[in-house]
Amino acid sequence: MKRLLLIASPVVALAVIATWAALGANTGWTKNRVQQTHTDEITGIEHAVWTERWVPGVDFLAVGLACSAGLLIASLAIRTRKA
Amino acid sequence: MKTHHLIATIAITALATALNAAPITFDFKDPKGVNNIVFQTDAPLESINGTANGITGSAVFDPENPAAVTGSITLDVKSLRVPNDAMQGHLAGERWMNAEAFPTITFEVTGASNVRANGDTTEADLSGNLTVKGVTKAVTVPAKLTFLKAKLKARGGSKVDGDLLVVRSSFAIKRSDYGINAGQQLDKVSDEIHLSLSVVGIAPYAE
Repeated sequence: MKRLLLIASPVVALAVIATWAALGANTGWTKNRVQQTHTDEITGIEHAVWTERWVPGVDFLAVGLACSAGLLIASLAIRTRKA
Repeated sequence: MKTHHLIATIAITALATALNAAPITFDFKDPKGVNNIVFQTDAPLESINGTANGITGSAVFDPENPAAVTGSITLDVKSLRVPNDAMQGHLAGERWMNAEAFPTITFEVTGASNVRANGDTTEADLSGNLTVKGVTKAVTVPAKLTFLKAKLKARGGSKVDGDLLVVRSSFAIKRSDYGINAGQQLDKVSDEIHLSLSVVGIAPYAE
């Protein structure tokens, strides 16, 4: 169990960081939708069209890394049985 | 004889101009759905940026007398959009916009001053009453009005031709002036909200 937690901790950390980086490395809050700007011909009015898309932010990073740290602490709390 | 002829010509020209220079009523309910307001306020991590497109209203505008513009614009509060679902929920909630109790934001134009007309474009300071979350305040905002004659059909979305009136305005309000979570969470959300309005009114010709 201790070993499992010791392995899981960095795996979770790497997975969280990789997911965050792959999906845009957003340094703001997690987004559920993004906007694209379109321009109306004749009038020149710019308007946003929203698209549902999950973009993880620093809150996702924080929660993920906190989970990783929790797994590490849990692994250290488990005493190794001496043979 | 020549003088009489000249006077008659001038009189007929003036009458024709007066008949053509009638005020036009523009409807801001855009069939193409591009009318929008962009809002932005500062916050510690990143600025909060959103849009709203539930816009209706009308304006009466005379291209020959732009200073006489009147009208009103209404925004559906439930059309406000921000990128984050949790933030979206807070925005519509009771402490912030309270969308259930106050479903609309309105701006009613009562007059125009500092009018500068340059061809089809008019810049002016529009005075009016802005009502947000049930609180009405007199405000004056800079605006740019562009009259586009006979451009409705070319724009698309209409089988008949007509005129367009593009209205743009950028100004700021304080959320504390309108009871929008007034005095609270100023360390998380700035009191000042910047608004940028871009709308087009349509005036189809009679068939």
